Amino acid sequence: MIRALRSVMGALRTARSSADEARATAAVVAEIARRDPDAAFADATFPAHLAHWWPVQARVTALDWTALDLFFGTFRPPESAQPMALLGRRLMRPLITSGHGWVYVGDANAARRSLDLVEAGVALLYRLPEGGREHEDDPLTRHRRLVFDGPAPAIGALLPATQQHVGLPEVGDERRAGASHGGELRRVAIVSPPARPEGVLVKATALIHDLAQAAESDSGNSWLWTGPSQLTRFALGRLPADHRAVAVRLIDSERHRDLESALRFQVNGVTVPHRFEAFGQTAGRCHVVVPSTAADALVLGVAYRHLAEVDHRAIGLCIEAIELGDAS
Amino acid sequence: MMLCHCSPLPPRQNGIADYAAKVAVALSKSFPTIVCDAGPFVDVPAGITVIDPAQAFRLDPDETLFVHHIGNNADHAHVRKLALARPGIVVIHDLRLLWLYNHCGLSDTEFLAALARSNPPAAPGRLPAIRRKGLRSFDYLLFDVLDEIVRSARGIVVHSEFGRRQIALRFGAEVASRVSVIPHFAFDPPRETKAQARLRLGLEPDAVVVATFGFAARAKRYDLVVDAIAALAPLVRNLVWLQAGPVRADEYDLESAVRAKTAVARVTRFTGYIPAHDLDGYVAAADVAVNLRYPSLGENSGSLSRLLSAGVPCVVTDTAAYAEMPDDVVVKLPIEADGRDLALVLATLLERPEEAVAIGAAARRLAEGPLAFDRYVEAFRAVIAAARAHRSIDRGAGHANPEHHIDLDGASFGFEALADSAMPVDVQCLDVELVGGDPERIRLRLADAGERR
Repeated sequence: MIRALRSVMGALRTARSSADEARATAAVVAEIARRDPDAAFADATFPAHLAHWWPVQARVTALDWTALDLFFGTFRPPESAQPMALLGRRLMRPLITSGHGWVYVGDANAARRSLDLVEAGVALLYRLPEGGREHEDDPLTRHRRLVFDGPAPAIGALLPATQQHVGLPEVGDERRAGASHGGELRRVAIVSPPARPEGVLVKATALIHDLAQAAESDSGNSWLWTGPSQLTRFALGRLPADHRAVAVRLIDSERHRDLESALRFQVNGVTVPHRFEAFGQTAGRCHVVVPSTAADALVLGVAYRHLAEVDHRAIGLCIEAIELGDAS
Repeated sequence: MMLCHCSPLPPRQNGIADYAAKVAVALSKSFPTIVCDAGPFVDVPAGITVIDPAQAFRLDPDETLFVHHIGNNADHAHVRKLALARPGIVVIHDLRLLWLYNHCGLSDTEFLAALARSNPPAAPGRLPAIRRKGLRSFDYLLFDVLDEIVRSARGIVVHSEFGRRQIALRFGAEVASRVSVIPHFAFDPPRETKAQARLRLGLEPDAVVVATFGFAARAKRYDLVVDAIAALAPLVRNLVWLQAGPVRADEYDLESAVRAKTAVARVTRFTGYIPAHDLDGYVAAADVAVNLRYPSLGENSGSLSRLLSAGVPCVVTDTAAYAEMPDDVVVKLPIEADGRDLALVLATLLERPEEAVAIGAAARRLAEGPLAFDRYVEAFRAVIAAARAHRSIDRGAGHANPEHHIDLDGASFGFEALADSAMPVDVQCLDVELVGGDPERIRLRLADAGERR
């Protein structure tokens, strides 16, 4: 029982720290994007990604993709028909070639494992160890570094030799350039951190799922058909503790039927109750509250009983977006 | 500690689903219990949490004991995967898993590798032919594909001594030491009386109902049943043959076999698939049931356990696990019996109701005693305790017996491994050749059509 309690408390702490980390990385990303309109971002912490909470569109990928197991490796990132395990770091290629690429890799250990990306011309963002001091043998210290003066936890950056500081405002009295044992370290300010988001709308084209087909779009609208399996899984990454209300928006479709009773939802594989908000007979929004004890790498399962055969293709639900919001 | 049962659940058309649901609910009174089923729309029993098998990795391995219910059909594809990834207690419902392995999404390469592991001596001769032309019926004898499931298990539950003996012969003493025999429990008796059930199901009160249950498969010897009904139909007034279960023409075309005999067609009633809660009504409505198997793949019958509870006299084949049943509880038909023999047995039971009643009463006593569900649960708790104590297993232990063992007539026969590299690859038929005078040992020899000539 004590072990179970420890597990629950651990999950609660993780959820709270996810909220902090989402806020901190969002502030950094917003600051960089404001200074460099050409900046491109990737969150390489899939399946525990935070990028849905960032104020800019970012690629989501796995850093250590060879370690992805059969489950997470089969998920398709947005606008790709190939599973994550096959794509691997190819998803970062546009960032490398752009000269304005920033990749969030998670913690300092992940940053150490990703120094090849810095060599390739990408800046790494990573979470600095809490209260940790740099050790002069740490390979990270051999690179040009930034420390962002923003909300905790502190976020750092490793810059490639070719990349400028994009005009980030330095915190004057803490500047420490040209350290003797390695690259320079600059402390930069976050001038105006973004407001805490009320919620996030993940459009069909931005969803990470285990379907074989990609989302479709037309005239600014996008949608994603589920099928041929009754169950579709969406990788939502980390949900901050205060944003655990999930709503799945269903587009009005004549293929939909029996929506009140033909839907089931799972969080991390376990069936959870849902509330269906009908918009007429064939559209609606399904509300699910993610338990606070649900672990990171959150996966939402959406199951629909009825599959229709259309053009030799078994289709189910037509999903427009998933909303992530405040559960209170 | 949490128990995680990996099994199909109702409403899947699978007897193991009903079995596993009942067991999971009972054990949930002692352990927090979850069930892994690949279907998002399964019926979730009260007190049970269902989890997507693909996300079972989220369960703490130190806090979770897995119970894998393995059967020989595609509903168990996720069970196979988890049994290998998360070893635990394996409840073996079928001693041969070739059909499962052929329908669980393995690539050709993976499938053939599994066959090679299952029977290394036979593989060089058979695999090239299987790769070119697919499986033949005798491959079900050559490749049980049970090895990786059994070897990885911390505890193994089978329903009969026959099953234990087969595993001991096949895998040796170390693996056999992990086997527990817990007889298939008897389900609760039907709530309806015969008269009530017949009224609800539209059967005449005075009909003479001979019933068969479950999927109509070739191994259930429906050929004998058709012949027996053909013989009885002109003699027994108001005879009804009730086939209470689905018919799949691609597996065994029972409907055509029935249509071919007018007398049989006139008295036969097909129900199609019957969910578990309706099945009891058909059990209650039966005067006599026929539950034949040959060859048996070591399975037990859920329908039979319902019939025993209901006190319905039942004719089974004298083979494998069925041969272990007490002689006064069922009528055991010899494996060499034909339709006329079965007709004679049925006629005797119908003409001598006092004997049918005695058999039914003995069946009910067995169901209420040794096969009572409470006893099953107690025995299963002991297996759980042993598995918890036996968390670490030596995967290298329990080397397979180089010889393979199959059941041909209810006894266990060893056969010399089919190691002959000269074995023909285009095998057309199976020859069985007795070697020496020892009836406990026969040698199987594969021969192609040309060789036979």
